[in-house]
Amino acid sequence: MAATAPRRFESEELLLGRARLGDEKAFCTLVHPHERALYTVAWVITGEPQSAEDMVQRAAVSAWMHFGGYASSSFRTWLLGFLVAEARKTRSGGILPAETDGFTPRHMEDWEALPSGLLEDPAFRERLQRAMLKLPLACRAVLVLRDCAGIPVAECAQVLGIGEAEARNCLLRARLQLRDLLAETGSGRRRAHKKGGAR
Amino acid sequence: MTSHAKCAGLRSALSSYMDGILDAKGVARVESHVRECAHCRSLLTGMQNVARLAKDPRLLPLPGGFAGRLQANLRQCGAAPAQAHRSADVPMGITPDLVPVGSHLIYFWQTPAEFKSGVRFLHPGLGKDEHCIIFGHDEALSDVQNTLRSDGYDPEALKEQGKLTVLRRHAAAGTTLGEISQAVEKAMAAGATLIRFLGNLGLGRDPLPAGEDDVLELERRATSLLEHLPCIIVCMYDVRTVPGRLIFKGGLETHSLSVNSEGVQHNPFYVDGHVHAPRLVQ
Repeated sequence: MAATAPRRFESEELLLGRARLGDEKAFCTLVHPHERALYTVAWVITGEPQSAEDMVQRAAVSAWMHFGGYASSSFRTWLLGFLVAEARKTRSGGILPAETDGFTPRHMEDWEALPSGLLEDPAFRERLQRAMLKLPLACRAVLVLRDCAGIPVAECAQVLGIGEAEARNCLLRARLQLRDLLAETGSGRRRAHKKGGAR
Repeated sequence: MTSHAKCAGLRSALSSYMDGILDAKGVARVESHVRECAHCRSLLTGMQNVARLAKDPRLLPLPGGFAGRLQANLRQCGAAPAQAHRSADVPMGITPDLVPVGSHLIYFWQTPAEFKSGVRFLHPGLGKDEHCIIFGHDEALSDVQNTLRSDGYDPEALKEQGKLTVLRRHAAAGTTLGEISQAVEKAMAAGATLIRFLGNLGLGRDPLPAGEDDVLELERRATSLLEHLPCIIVCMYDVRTVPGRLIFKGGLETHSLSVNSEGVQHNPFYVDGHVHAPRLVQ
């Protein structure tokens, strides 16, 4: 007889149960779907792959050590909280200064859709990464949580400990500013009007 | 509202539009505006470009071997608070022995007193943060619950509290395992840290739902499931009614541990289910 849906036993509830019993493999399986979210946030904070991985590993170990007290309704939110805590340790001023005011997007028309194949080009990738690191830190954090990791805005706000409206502002600012930074690198625009053309 | 003021007012809505968090009226307002306004259309397209590029895993690829290093780090960091439960084996109830989580034990019984002793497997878990499942044919389920009552437990209350599940054997192994998995998931979701599963094999009024080989299949696959579950299984075989072939192929070959009045011991007849499973069901 064919196996009966063994995948059922990989459900988050059961993995949580195994992890509660001290099964570190189960805990790793729980962490796995969120590695990208963890890594991208760590990367925009540290700006460097090795430091980013170190930060994620420290956060995951810390989460594991505190797993006995896990009682959250969302494992992802709970886990990302440890990364934010790690980030706060490395940045004495915290990671979320209010930096979302005073930005006006440039006026550009006929912005064409960028082919995703551009990311095959290491030079373009590096340019985009550098552009991301030029964003205010709060904006970077929301941008990668929302756009890199696909986490809903309300949850991004919860993870970062800010209001949802502030998270939305950060995201808007990040997307607009990154769009302009990309334009400055000559990527993806057909006609850029002079900078004073903002509305 | 002037055109410029309208653009400024809609700017934050563009981002929310991308995130799908606008109501129908807001969506209509944005779509109508960007059709007419080249500037806002450009903002939206540009932001959509940014979101699409950011979503692409090639932008910030995860370092290779990330998961393996994480697991190694977790092992190195020592026991998490939760590990105390795992490293201390759990009481098995029938005897004073402790057994590891994941154990699958065979218990042969012949007399009512031996049956009553077998049901004691459930005692350490009842009313705690564990969940108990009893499984078998109608007569066995009734006898287990009566035994619990005589031991001072209230099966009906335990069922209502979500501490006890009674599963009737009525179908073939595949369906049965599905039902077991559902019961386990429900218990784990409710916060159970350990599942005690008491299976009963014996011939009651009704015949085996899918024959002897299906029982062997169920036993073999139950062992495989244990690798993935915080669970202990004790299978009680009524040697008065179970055929000799099932006692040998099921009772002896599919359980790594056995328990009797003298205690828990390794079962020398156990055959690794992964290696010999196909032979079992031929």
